[in-house]
Amino acid sequence: MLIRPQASDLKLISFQLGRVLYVVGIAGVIPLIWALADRDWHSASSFIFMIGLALAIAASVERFRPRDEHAGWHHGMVTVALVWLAVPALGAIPLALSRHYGRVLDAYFDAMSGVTTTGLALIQDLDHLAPSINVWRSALQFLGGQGIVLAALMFFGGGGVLALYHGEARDERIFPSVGSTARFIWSVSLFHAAFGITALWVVGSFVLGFDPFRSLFHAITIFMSAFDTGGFAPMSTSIGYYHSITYEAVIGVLMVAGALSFGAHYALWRGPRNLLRNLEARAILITFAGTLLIAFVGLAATGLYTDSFSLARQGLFQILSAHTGTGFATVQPTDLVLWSGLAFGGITLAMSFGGMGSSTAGGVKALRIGLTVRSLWNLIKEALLPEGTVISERYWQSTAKVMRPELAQSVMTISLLYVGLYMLGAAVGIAYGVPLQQAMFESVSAAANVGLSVGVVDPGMPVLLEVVYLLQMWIGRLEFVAVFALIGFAVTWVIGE
Amino acid sequence: MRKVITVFMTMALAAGPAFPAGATEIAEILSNPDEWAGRDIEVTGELIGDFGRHSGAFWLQMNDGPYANNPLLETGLLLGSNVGITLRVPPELFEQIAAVEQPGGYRWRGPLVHAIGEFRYHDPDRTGETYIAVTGLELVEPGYHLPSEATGPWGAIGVILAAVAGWVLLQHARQRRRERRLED
Repeated sequence: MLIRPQASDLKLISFQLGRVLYVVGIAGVIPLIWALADRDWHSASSFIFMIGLALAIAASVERFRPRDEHAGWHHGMVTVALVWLAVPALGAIPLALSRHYGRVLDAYFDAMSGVTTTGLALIQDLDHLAPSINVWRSALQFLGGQGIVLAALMFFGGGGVLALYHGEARDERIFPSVGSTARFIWSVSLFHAAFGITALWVVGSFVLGFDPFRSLFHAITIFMSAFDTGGFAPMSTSIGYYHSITYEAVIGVLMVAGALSFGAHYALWRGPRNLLRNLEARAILITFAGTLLIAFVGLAATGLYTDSFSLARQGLFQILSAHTGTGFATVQPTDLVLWSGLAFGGITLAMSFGGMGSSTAGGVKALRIGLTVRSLWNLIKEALLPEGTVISERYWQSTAKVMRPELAQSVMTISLLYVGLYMLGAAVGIAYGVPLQQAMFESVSAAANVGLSVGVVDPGMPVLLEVVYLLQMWIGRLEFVAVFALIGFAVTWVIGE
Repeated sequence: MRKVITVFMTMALAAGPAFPAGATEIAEILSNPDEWAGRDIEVTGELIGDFGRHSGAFWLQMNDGPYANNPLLETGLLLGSNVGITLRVPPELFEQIAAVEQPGGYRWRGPLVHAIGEFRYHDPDRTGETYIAVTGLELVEPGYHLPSEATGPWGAIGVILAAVAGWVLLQHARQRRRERRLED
């Protein structure tokens, strides 16, 4: 028998959702200040409206504050799934009011793309967009990448935090408490912010010859999108705009830092040897090298680049961007389409694999790939070796661990679900007449929260396809579990007793 | 008043017409790059973003998409995404424009220029970058301010909402204090 949720469950979920909305309100102050400094009253008023609405909703659910704030697992999961629908809705307000979107749905799409750190965009005339709105687009990526719930946990703490933490697709605790882990994550991010913004500003001002203030604008927006593997760039030609290997190198470092789990950052601080023992680190190095090799061979076969340095630079940046789930590009979508065959396959594979678990990157994730391969390899060994041979199921991930059948099964299930999600988007794309390769590319890009595009995502795209990509971004970011919990919650609400 | 200043120069000082009639659309160049690679082409569009200077040249983005002639803030028309390409302009060509112009951006329609140059597709000398190596540049129309958008009621509504939120929170805080006092 399915048990219908009670009013108290709804109140608790609403209360937790409200807390997260405070964070959106606070985050909105940054672009508001930018808009006021720019004397951009139109954008400023849209931020004030968003902040006011976020605070009003959050304050209105304060009355649901329970005596015991302890939330169960399902409360946390349902809250997280709703948070990742509600935050883009609020975040879309300044975008929609900017008048750079044809439909409100397009603004919501971009906000979802921002929060899920995807980077696919339906904005029109980006190059004339108000700087404060551009800052907000990047801030959405920073907020989403860092974990909105994580931000709320830092501010408010409270019961049931573990469920919220896991619901946001983070499954490692570097320190014993979630609160101290959250503080560590934000410390690492601030350290990278100081490094990244300074480095990009210096290169922008002194190497590229930009105006120092404009260079700071580029540095801030690019940092937030790169470190949180988002991919929104302030100019329509993405990173190709800068024509600078040095700038690309700094961005590359930030993208890699973003694709590392925060546990890996901690391990790196203690010495790289600790990190390289991990199955996850080995898996990501192998998949990166593999997809890079495929792309290089494919690119060489197309003859698009006549020398090896060009091929290496362009191939490396695109694969790095794809594998880390960032979505920055140094080539335009019309050029990317020409990377046919193996090169195209290499990028698509890199996107589908994604970064490390508990990082800001999307995709299947390196640990799952490592465990899946390990599990399959054990099956093969079991079949080939004499009966009764003991096969080691141990692996190293920060500590020595054992791959139990339940773990192997859950890893394979999530990996298969990702494949299914990739196929779903591709099928809808094909139904709309998109060629198979491009439909697959765009679908993987959306579901793995990457953001590279071959031009299928366009302001004139069909609404159904847009909604499918939107759902893919949401489901892909939450890694299914929280979404299933929300669906289960809704079903029991309707048919439960 | 939009005065038209022409600062036409050619680097190569070639004989004959420097700007033959009819610019090619950037979208056409980008969708058939192999066809245009290595050829001298003409493009007309808006300079936008930043005037970068490095590697002995100025690096500018030119957009010729729908917004170059119909800025969104002026017409209110949404006409799709931007279409742009990079121009690599020698300093002696560029400085005459830079003296009077700034690149386009928010509330500023950048200068419309007409450029002629070689389309370098995946240039090995620039490790695979794509751009136009400009040999002639002409200012077609100077940049100008675009009208500001009307602010609308959103800011005022936001302030009211924030004030309501503050009042509600204050009430809750008072109520909680009362409850705690009663419990004590």
